[in-house]
Amino acid sequence: MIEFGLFSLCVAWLLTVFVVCGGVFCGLYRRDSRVLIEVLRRASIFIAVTLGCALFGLGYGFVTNDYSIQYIWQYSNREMPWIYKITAIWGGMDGSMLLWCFLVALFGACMAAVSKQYPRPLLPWLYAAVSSSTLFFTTITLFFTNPFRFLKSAVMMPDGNGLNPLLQNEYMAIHPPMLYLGFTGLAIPYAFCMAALASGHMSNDWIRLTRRWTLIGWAFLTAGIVLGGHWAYLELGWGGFWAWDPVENASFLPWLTATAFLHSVMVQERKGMLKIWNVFLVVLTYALTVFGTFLTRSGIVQSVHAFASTDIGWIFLTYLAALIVLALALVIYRWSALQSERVIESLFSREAVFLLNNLVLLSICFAVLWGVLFPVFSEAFTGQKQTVGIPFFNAVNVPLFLALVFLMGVGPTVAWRHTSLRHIVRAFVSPFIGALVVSTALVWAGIPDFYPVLSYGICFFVLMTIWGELQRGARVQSGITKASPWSVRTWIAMLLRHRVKYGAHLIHFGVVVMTIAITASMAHKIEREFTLAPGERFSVGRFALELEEFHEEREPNYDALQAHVAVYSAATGERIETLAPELRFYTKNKETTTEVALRMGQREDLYLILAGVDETGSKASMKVFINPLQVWLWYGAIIMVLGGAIVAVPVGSRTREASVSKNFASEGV
Amino acid sequence: MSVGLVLCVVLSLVIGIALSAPYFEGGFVEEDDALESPSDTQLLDSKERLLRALKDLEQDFSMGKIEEEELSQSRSELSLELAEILKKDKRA
Repeated sequence: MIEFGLFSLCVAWLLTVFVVCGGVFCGLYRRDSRVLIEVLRRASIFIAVTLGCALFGLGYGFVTNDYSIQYIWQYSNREMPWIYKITAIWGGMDGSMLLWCFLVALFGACMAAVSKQYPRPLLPWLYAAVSSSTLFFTTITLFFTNPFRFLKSAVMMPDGNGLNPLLQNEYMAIHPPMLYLGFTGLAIPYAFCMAALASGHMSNDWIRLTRRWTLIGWAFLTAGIVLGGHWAYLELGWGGFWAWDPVENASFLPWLTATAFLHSVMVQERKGMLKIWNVFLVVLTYALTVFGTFLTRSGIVQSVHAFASTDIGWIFLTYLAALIVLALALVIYRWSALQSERVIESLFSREAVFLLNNLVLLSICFAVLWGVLFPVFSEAFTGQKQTVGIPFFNAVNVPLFLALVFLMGVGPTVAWRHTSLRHIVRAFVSPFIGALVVSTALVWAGIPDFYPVLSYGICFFVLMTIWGELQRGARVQSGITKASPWSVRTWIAMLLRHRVKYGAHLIHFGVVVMTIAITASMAHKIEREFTLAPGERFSVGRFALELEEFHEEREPNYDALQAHVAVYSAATGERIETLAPELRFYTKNKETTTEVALRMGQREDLYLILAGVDETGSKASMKVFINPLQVWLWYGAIIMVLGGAIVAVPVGSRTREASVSKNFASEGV
Repeated sequence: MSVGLVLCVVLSLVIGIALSAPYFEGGFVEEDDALESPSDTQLLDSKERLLRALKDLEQDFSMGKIEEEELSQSRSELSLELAEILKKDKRA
């Protein structure tokens, strides 16, 4: 079956070469050849099929313990549960590159499957552009990081090394694929952009289609980043979810630029403005996904996420340079078609706020990128590798992020082109006063720090503006349905009629919920270290912790020592539950890990770690965190992804011409 | 013959048949149908953009975000632009 996997990978590589060459040929010389376009479409679908077969071949090798393959021997062993044997496919660099290839190709295949309704001049270039991305990653996989290489050993290995214990977690099954879906999904907007520039078909089509694909990639990336944060929170045992690690940052960078694009694209759709800016954002987003892959695989930065240092970094840099030069050349070539049709007429307009939002997002992006690359620059210029830590990222990004949240309240509330002064006063005075009251009350209640108070105030402001928009919308809808503005019928009709608009409000609501949770967990976190013997108690926050006993467990691939800790209410003395943090010793890897015991609550999380046991084995060293409102961070993320899904659902399958005609009819033109 | 080898042959055959089929299927006869010209696309773009602007204007007004004078002024500007586009469209 390994031969089948390798054969499929080779066929996939040949197909990508065919689609790239055929697409460029068709775009240049045979634009009206329906046969060739159909062949390219089918070939694009088969690239995904063949890469799926390659992935299956490798997976089969893992499940059947085929240790003649170096990659399988390195990342698997017989004791590992079958689920981790599957997830070990992307546990190392070679397999993760293969998964990446498959997911880019999968997006390309989905795009090809629905592409019959797309404008024909775009199609050959579109297939070629997506396949060029797949070709790059397939070339690396086939020639530099091939997971099907045989082990250079004269004897057959009876067992493998096994997967890194930190990766033996159920989140390994979902976090990397979700993150990769986000990264690879953003290759499609790039392909649309390149196809539009290459074909000269610069109409609204590409921008409208790109928006939906960007939303899909953005939603996956959001889910992937948050799942990564949740995994880090549960597994790494430091009580937090985001450490501004270089590789975490690398996933955050394209998210920022994709978010900027999702806003600025609306300005181009409606006003014909920001065309070059949008091309820049799409190319930058894709370039940042490639940069993130480079960062993880080149070994230039130290990170818990990074794979072993390799010599393929130069290939990524060459590709990055090539795609930027190509995009720049095409932009210069199509310069006249990329000129704005209008200008911003007022600062109190939605387009002006969206532009401001873009600038803030790009500022955050630049600050994070600077922090990531600072060690590289410092080493190049001073000879010493200096890193910037969490304080730098927080100091720069917290004010920028709060400005962004504030703009989230302003943007949807103001009108396109120009907003009347009366509306500005009516829409913003109550939320502003409300925010001021909340902030004052918080200072009164004893929160001394500036940023938490400002953050809660801004969040309240945004919540009130969203609520105001909903109320105004319901009043308008009630005029149409002749029902009360507070009736369920009115609200359902309103939400269905303006699905995209209220889907976006839902995303913003999710961001506000997350912001409140992040503020609370950062500003009011309690952290304590203590030692307990059985029967002893330690009080922290609303809880009292009592060590009851130690318990040993033996699993196929690790031995565990658990501390059974009873949790009591400090106020009433009532027993709430028992937590069991543990130390695991992975026998094969000879590594020790800590497993967090967590009591998740709506008010706060009780996060308990067994740091160690003394020499006599009678006393446990423990660390406890109380993280207020932590669970709301995950709820907020779910709301955001749900909002993204609502916005991304297509309106219908009408052709563009029919849609415009229908709009004419509805406008009475 | 191993299962892997059989699968390799099957995969090759399926891809070969699927990719060559359009050359033999009747539905894909080479047609010299004119592709949408850039001017057609531009007209359609402009129509779409203006209609959207009109809709946004009405919606912003109904939500109380703009005054009546602003509405009538912007609407007449947009209607004039739309009329120009429709004239061009008719000529085309």
